[in-house]
Amino acid sequence: MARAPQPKVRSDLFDTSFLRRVEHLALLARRISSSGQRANRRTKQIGAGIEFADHRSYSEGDDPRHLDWNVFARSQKLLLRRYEEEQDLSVYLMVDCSPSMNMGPSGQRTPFERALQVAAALGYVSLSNLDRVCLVPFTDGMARPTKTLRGRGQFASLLTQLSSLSLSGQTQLPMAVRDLPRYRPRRGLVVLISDMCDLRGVGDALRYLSFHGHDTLVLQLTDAQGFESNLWGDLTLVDVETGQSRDVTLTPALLQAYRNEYDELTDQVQAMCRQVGARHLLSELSTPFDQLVMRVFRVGGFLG
Amino acid sequence: MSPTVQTLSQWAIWLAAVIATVGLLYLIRPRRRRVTVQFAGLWQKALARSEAQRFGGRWRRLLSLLLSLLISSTLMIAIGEDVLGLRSWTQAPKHDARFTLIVVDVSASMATLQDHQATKSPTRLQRAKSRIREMLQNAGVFDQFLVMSASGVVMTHCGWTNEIKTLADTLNTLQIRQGSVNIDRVERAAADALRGKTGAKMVWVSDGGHPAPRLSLPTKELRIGSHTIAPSDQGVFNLAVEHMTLRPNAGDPGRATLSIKIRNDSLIPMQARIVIYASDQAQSPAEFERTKSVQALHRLQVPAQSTEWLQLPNTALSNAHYAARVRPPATLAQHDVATWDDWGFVVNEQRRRLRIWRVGRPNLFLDAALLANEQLDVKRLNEVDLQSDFMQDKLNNQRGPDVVVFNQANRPYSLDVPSLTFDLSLRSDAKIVVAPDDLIINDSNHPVMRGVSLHDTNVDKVRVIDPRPQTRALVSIRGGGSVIVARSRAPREVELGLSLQETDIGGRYALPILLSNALDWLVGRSAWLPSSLVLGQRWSVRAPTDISGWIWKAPNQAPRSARRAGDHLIGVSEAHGIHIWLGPKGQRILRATRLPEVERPIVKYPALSLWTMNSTRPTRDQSTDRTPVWWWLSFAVVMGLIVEWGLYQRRRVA
Repeated sequence: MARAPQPKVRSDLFDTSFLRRVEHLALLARRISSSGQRANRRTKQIGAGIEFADHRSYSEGDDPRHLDWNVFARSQKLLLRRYEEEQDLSVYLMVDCSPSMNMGPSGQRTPFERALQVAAALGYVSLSNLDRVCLVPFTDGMARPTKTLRGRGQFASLLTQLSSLSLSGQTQLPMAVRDLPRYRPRRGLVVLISDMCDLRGVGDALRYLSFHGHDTLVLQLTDAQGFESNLWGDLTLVDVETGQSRDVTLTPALLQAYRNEYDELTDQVQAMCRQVGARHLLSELSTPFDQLVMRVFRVGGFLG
Repeated sequence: MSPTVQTLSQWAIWLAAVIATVGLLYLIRPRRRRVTVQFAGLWQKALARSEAQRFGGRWRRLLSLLLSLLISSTLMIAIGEDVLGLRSWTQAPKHDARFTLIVVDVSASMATLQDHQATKSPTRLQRAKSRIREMLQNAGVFDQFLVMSASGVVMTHCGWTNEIKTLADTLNTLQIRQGSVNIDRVERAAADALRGKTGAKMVWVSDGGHPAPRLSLPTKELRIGSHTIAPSDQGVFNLAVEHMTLRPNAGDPGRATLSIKIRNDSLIPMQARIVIYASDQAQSPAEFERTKSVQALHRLQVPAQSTEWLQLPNTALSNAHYAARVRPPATLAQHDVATWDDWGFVVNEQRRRLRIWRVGRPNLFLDAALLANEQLDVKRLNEVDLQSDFMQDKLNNQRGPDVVVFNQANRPYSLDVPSLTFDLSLRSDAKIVVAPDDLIINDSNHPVMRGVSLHDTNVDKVRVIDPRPQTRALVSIRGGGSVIVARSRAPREVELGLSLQETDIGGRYALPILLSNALDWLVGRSAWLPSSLVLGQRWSVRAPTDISGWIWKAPNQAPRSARRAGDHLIGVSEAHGIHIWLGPKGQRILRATRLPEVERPIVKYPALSLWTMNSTRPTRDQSTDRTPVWWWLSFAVVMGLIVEWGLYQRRRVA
């Protein structure tokens, strides 16, 4: 039985210089350790950690080993000691694979390529932190998540997975998010990389993620400036995803209206993220990669 | 090749060239560039916003808001009409509605052109209509209007209504009428229409030729607005024949003095051009002009807003009907606003021919007196002939006699024709011998005795006439007893207890005068000095007898029954010309006249007005348990605003 050909890593994206830059960025990240099964990332769960969290009243059925006898000796009150449980973090890298991600200025990386590079960088740092990394590509639904990776040695597998992604379908974020708890029920950090052009259902999707306990980071990749540069006069605008067309006469007033709409769209994304406690990072394609990754590290809490 | 084929081939070449040009233009037409974008929905929103931020887009938004409010209000009212009982508010007149009575002056002066220099200038009535239309367009929903037109008569053209279309149609029906405005009637009609209306208003639309009506107590808080259509200093260019009389010369019945009174309504003196017509048949202006009966032309300078008499003495009375037409100077002739009052008419009563049947013994003096009057057609009959059935039928026929003169003959008891009787009974015991001075004239002013002198008349014997009801003794003898009596009740009678053979009255002037007076009185020609007729006025003439069934004949119109009120006959002159009173058999009994004697006063009575009748449907004011309409309207407006705001927010968020 012949084995299926092993997909190759895209050398145009993940070349040697890229890997060197990722390594360099990872060194900049603080608190990188290899602490066995237990990562050093604090979680909200109270459990079997060693870091004291707080007390709570004893109730019937609690383990008497956790009673704080010192407090009982002083105040004659039965209180339980609670500790923060330190767990390894599950990082879900959700990459928008709709065709709209392939729109970008000529001569530069498309949003999709930039998304893959950012995902690779985040994955490398997470793997270095012994976190679980899971790549979740999505379009109009969620593709079956790839195998969960753990450890720096799995970085090559991550690159392979990223290289195998292709563009198709139409962005429908709610449909994609709906299936995530079914395949990966463990809560974690969800990094959503998309252009966020279609806001339909985005609010619901973010609330859904928040409801299931995920910590969400939205990385919005935009290319508004590049679009305006070379378009004037009578045009037929074709939606890259739906194929719908509309005849317009592009004027400065219309361009200004489009710019306002785009700004308003960005504001709405930020507002939605703020409502559900998610973090939002807006990035132009023209932003240098290093700067972008460092901002993602900082906003996403990868640097502690 | 035939010419047709050649022409077709040329057409084919042209057609092919056109098709090729069109095709080429189609191929090289500027095409739109197809540009792939990330998300067309974003461009859609940008287009919508750009459209909305345009000037027209903003107004469209406002119009959308207003339209939604209007629809909401209309729906609320429509629902409230049945559910909330607002039907009375929308249909029945409210007591607190504003009532406006519009009285439009449609008298002759309203036909004046506003601009005398322009040929197509609107008349004052047309200007008045346009003013009223403007007023109606600015009226509120609650305003109720009633349109009246006023000239000699006042007419109501519609009931109280707030429908603009109905009022506009009513205005279109207003037309100039003959005659001037009767302010007194306007006041009475307006008082009748506004009775019981509080807060009513009356708008008097006129050219200022008449004072605005002053209503005394018709309604509370009555306001009278006066709309003057034309500046008053322009005046009215109009000349009219106000009066026309024909007075025969004393002692010369063939000639008379024709007097014409000319009125100048203008503010400037005018030289009137007067045309005198004379005809035997014509009775109306058209007939006078058609018969070309012009007799004379005269000019008369008439002061401004004044009257002037034109006296034409020694006018030959050769025709039965005379007419006069007055015209302004040629330069102002086209501006004469009322052509119908340019005419005056008069009848030469002397030309009236009477049919006389003389029955009884012949008498030279009587026959000579009858023959001397050219206006009489005398037919002699024996007393026996009168008794025949044939003559009896003829006697009562339409073509029967106007007067029957009996001389020494028995007068039938049932005679319906006026009669003059000379009778000295053959019975000797009834004769009384009297001296010449024994005859006493009791009523010298009676038409029969006017100008009759019995002084030193030898009558020798007379017969005393027994007194009868409704008879009047004109002449009696000293010591009692009537000799000449007159019965005014129909049929009229004049009876003389005299014998033309046994007295010398036949040889005196008294006989023809007495005979003429008696015949005139018997046929009703007692007053023969005519006056003018104002069109549109209601006139009454004292009926000479009690005969009912009088007929009023106007020029160019079919005879119609005259209304009788007491001892007066009433009619309204609607046409200009010679009006004729006819007896019940169609014969001319009264003088042919358009000259009334007395205008019958209109009795003031509390009129039953349509507008004071209570509607069976309770008005909104009478209903206390209903929510006010303004509340519902406000509710609809607020709801519309809320809905519109919600839609705006939804659009903004989406």
